[in-house]
Amino acid sequence: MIRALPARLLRQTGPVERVAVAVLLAVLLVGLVVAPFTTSPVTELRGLSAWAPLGRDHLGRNVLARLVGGAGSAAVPFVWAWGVTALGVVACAACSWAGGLVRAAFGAVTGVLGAIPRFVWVLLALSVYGRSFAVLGVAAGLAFLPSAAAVVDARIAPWRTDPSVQADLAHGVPRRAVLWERLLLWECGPDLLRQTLGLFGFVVVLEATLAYLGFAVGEPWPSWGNAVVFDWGRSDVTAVARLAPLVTLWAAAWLATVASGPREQP
Amino acid sequence: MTLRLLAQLARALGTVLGAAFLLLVGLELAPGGPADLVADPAVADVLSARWGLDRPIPVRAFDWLARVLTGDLGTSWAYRPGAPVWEVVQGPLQRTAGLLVLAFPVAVMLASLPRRLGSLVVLVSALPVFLLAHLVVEGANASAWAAMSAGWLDRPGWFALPGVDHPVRTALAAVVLAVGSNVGGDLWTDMQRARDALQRSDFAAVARVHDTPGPGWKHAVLVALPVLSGRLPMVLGGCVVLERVFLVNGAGWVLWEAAMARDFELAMALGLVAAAVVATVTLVAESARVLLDPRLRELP
Repeated sequence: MIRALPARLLRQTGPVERVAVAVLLAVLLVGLVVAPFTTSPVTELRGLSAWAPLGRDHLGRNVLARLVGGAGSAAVPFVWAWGVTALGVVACAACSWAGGLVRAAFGAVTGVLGAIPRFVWVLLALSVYGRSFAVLGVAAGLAFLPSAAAVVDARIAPWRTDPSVQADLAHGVPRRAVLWERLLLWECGPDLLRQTLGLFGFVVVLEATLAYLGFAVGEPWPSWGNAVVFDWGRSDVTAVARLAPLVTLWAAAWLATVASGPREQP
Repeated sequence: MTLRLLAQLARALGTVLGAAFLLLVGLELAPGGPADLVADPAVADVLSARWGLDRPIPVRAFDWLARVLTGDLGTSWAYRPGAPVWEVVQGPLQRTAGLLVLAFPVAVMLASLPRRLGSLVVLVSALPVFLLAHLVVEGANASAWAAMSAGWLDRPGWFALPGVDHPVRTALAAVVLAVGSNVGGDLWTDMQRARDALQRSDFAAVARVHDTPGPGWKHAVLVALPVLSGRLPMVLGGCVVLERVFLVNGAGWVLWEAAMARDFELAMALGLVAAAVVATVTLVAESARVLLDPRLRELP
């Protein structure tokens, strides 16, 4: 079943989702491998500086290199957020399978998390625990968890009493195989992929918003959010260089939105 | 039906109390505290005892909850030192509420746009609130400047945004709030889906066959209520960003300032108010659905 999962995901996803997955993987690859955050803002991506198809900003920096560096600002918190959400989804699946009070208690916790606006939640976490990618990612993951948990719960809870699941159990299929492999990965797989894309869009927008407002990555470190305003309104910078960060951010957010489908009720 | 409404009320109260508890425990688990800023350990101990910081976390959590339930949200430490939080947030909350009230009809109008405009709404709506607000401010200023330079326009009262407190600024902010960060696109998509489902329903089919009135205002409200109330947390989060970009001194602005200054009493109170607003609106929306939909009334 697990071996057939990639083929199932491919069948269940449309072209927009596939493009969105490709973009997500590209951002992760570029952000985590090409633009690690341990490098100096002065020397980072020096190799790309001879090649600047998007032009240069008013300080002479390669705009493409800044966008590549900005991908890292989004990729690092995304990895943290994905980890937290994945743990939450596993817990949610177990609680939905258990049913009764356990399921109700988990639903109450996610209900409380969902009642606090996501941005407020992240802002408070960054204020209390300090500004770091880890805190940003963990807070973003917790803020996103209610919508991912709602999807998983809606899928798994009805399966508990499904005759085919009961037949599996009666024929001696282990519970863990039924819950984790059949229900969570096989049945929820396409939904979880869409939720991952939704989380990607959420983290990208969140990081860019905080950087724009000066609460996260600030100059000279690159972020798509701070790059939007850096050259805005300057006549000595080409229009392509000024618009590139804006279009990149918009395209990523739009793609993630369309690919992940309508937002779930928080 | 009464039991159902009471259960919803209990759920809303539980959500608010849970949010308060979560916020407090989150704060208590953070390293350091206000007394740590004092260099002299003896003075720090005295301050800790005076502020009750030396008591166990659960005791302080319930103490804070008890105070919140009596309407005492605490005292601002840094934003306006010594001022009661309720006094600090009263005015800003009214300004933010005004913004939300203005954004509501815009959101309803967006949700009822025809299908051919839907893709455009989704595309524009994918812009994050800060980016849309930024573009709106820059676009309005550039247009006004071009018109003034060409002699077509005298300097308008709102020029130049966002520094001037003017109704145009408020109106633009409300539009951005209703559109940005997928709020408008999601509303439109959800409403379209719900409308399509309603048109495909047995009730609508029977109404068509018998030439009797089909889905009316009650059905529209039933469809719109959960969609609108479900988007509220996103809109409230958008308020924080929007008020920063448009320089509106609302609750979002104060929350941002409190977070920057680490004024936790104030920030937590605003977080709690946001959760209470979400819980209340959800309660009202769910209750209205139960009252309007006879099928829901019959459910146990």
